[in-house]
Amino acid sequence: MGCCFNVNCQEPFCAYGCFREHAAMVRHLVYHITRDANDVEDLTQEIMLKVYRSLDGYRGGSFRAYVARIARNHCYDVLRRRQTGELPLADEMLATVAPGPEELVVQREAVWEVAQAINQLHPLDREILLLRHVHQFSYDEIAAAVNMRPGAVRTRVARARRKLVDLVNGREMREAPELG
Amino acid sequence: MRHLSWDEVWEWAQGAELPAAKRSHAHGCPVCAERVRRCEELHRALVCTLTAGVGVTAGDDDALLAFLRQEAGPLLVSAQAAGFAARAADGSASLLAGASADPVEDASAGSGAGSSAGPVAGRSAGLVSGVSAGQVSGVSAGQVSGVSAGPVASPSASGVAGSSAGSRPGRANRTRRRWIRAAIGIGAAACAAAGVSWPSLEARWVHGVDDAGSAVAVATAGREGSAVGGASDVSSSTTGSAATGDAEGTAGGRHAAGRSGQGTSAGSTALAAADGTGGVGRTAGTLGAAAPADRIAGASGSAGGVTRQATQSAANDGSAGSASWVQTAGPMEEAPSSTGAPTASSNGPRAGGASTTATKAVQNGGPVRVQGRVQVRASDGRLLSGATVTFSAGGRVLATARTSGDGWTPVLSFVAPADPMLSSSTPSTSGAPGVAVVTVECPGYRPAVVYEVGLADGAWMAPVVTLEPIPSATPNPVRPNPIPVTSSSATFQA
Repeated sequence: MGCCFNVNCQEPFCAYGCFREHAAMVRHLVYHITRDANDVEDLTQEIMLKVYRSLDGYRGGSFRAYVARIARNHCYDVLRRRQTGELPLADEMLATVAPGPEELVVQREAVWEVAQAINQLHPLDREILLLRHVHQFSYDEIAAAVNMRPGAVRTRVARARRKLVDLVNGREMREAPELG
Repeated sequence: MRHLSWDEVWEWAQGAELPAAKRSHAHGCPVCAERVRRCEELHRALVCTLTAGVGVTAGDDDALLAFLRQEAGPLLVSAQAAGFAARAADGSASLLAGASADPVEDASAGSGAGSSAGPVAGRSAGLVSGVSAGQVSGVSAGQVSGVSAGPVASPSASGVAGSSAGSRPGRANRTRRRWIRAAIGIGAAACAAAGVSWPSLEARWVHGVDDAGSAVAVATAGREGSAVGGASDVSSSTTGSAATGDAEGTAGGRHAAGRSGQGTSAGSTALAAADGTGGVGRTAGTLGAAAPADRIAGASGSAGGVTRQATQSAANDGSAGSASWVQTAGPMEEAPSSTGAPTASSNGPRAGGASTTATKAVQNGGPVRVQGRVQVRASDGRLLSGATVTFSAGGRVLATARTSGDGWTPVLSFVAPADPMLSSSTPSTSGAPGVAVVTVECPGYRPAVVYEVGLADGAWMAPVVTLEPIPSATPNPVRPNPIPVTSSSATFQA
């Protein structure tokens, strides 16, 4: 349970880590579960309110895993209510930093390749990779968030990474020009 | 020694520690070095991909916080009973601090957006609770998403920097977005039917602070088309220090907002929020340090609808002396806040002499001279003549030209201002880089807006922009008013 580094921060969740960090993580989870950028803010708002209202029910452990679990459950509830399939990651959502036009193209292509590979992963694998690679969750925290055993999470992460490498490599091999 | 396993390499790429023997092996072994390189690349791309699409700005968090304060305020007692405010020993009213404080001034027009729940009025010491939740995404840059708070100059003055633009419950948000979608859809359809391009947005905010030594543009909106451009999500955070207080300039990039910036400095609230619903917050109280913010609002604009013209000024007599805030706008379309409504907020009493590094960059950055021409094609490869290509930066049109029969514009030669954010973040570069927005419009095609086109001094550029034709308008049974937001169809090729 960590507080943000600003000792005078008095935001609602600060005793459990800074609200803003949790909000960023929730936004990412919401987006990658629902795949609808229009709903990110609304769902994040609902989730954070739910988290706040359920602070009494928090019984220790990693608070951000607790938040992630609430976020996942809420998102899946919403999806279940809507009964809609998931949408692919839109190309326009891919962020790029482009010092120049040429680098923009190269970077965007690289990110696009990985995005295509990620789209082929299981949704749970995407969530796990998001928590692990972006938000630096430990395996135990991920396990608490997705309701799995840590060992299973570790295996799942390794397999997802391997699959990702294979997918990207395979794409590159297919797209490489034939010689001779 | 055996090679590093993929798991070890992945963990290493993520920053985990490895035993020294394995590290030395990885450096010497070509197989492991290649794996490391590969994993690092993939890790960066993973972070970039997984964080894309969710632009996070300090404004979003502020709005969310204000909402929580508003909605969950009564829960504070129970939360405290549960030990919620354990760490807030010196300020148990952590949640209500913003809500209970009198909003310094709340002038919201339209639907009531733009409420500001600021810190306690009269707080004079400079606490910076500035937050930069910017996101720098990209393969090369990786992803930076975090919170950076400025130093605390006066620990005794604890305060909550609680500025918010538009705290409204979720239902109101959704209703508002539906109206915006409707407006956008109607505007797009009307423009498509008439064969005209979307109205351009020419808005310029001038934020003058007399004791800062320089006038700084706070928000500048360039031309705006229907297409959300390349959606470059860039932000950088600049933190400056003040003599007696602290100031933090925050440039919070946002997806689909091109690049944006907003200055945040400590203390009391001065909020100016141009919200999509027409609410224009007014500056109030003491105005914070001027943080330059070149903002190019790339949100999907509503066509046709001129929603407001605002000219306002506010004189403040806070600790920093007077400040003026003038917004002069031509027709300014609504921009949904979810895609980056131009919002500039500054919190806090301004310490004398406070200046941000970005301010200095504005003063020091030199112009960039660029030559080039642009070719415009349709998505089917046809060369388009008569397309209008516009380079703009900082709210000014740098150059504009029409394409001829071969799809190329004449050679354009223009001088672009150095980008303050790039200049401040890359102080070692000899030539200050610039950034322009390229807008391409052609009747019958979706306009393309490409943000973050890097400009180097003396460079020659010849990009090719591809436009997509506007399909015939057919009603969408699922979403009657589709947002005509498409990715930028422009593909820049060197």
